[in-house]
Amino acid sequence: MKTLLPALFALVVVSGCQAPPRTLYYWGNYPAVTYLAYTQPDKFTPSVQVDKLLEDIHQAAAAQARVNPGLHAHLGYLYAQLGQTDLARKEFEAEKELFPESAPFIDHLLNPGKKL
Amino acid sequence: MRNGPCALLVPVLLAMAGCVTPPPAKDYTEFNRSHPRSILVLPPINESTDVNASYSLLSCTTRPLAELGYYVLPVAMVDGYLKENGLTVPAEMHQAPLAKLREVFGADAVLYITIEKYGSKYQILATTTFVYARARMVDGRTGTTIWEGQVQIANAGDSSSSLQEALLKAILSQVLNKVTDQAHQVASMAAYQLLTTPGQGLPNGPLQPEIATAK
Repeated sequence: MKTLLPALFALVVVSGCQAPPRTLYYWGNYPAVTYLAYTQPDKFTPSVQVDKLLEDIHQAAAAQARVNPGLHAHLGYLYAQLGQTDLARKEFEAEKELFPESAPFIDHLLNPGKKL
Repeated sequence: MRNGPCALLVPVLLAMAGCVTPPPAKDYTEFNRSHPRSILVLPPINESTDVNASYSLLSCTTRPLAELGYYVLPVAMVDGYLKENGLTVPAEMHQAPLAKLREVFGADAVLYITIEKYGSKYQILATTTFVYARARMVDGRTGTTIWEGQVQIANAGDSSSSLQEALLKAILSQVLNKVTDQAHQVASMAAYQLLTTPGQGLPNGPLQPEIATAK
């Protein structure tokens, strides 16, 4: 047990150094949300996920960083599940504006007659 | 260091590190010809017995790909869309006609991943967590294979870690296993290693600022 304490401390130091030197995007809850929504669906309901992703958007803005690709789209998808279609549409448009590469999928979803 | 569990671990870790010889750099001719901007990652086919494996690894793919400079279609939303359209399991999704995927998602490239092993093996000195996967990326229009890769990680002692780091992780692995999802952490490392290892993973993509401005 005596050897474990310095090891614990060293691990904290080591893991602190593992962060990539710079990132293109702010990475908050999105990766974890997309995992936990599957493994703990009772806890990570759509409305809980919405809160987590809104937190990401605020944190990214505060850090003057860009949100990661897919965040606004996923948020829109959650709003659609919650029946908040206006908010869903707004988030889909936000994804498209930030990442024009998303346009084919987003347009496919926004196309009238196509159900999400 | 006193003789103890640590002294036993050193030769084991040295042996593990010694086994890994880097393969020669890949040929990126087809990849560069295809020059994808956007990537559709389909939920991985899971050959392991852990039901969480597919979505664990899937959720770990967005960050490395996006940081390399690619647009990654929202993985959970893609999965939801495919399920709502009758493709209920990854094996069915992987069989979807490329033209149909192209029509709906408009991705320049499609990434197909198969998980071969996923999970933890409990032993006396340390718990070993395995994530083995292979992957293939195809051009979204032609279906030509533009990249292939594989990754095999056992525990946290992968080849890129320093010995000291690997040793610390081995010591603490059983402690960590009690409080965290070790396999998911290893899956995250596996995704990074698979997709970003220089000469093996994908090259930087067009959304990297220095590449965008160089054009």
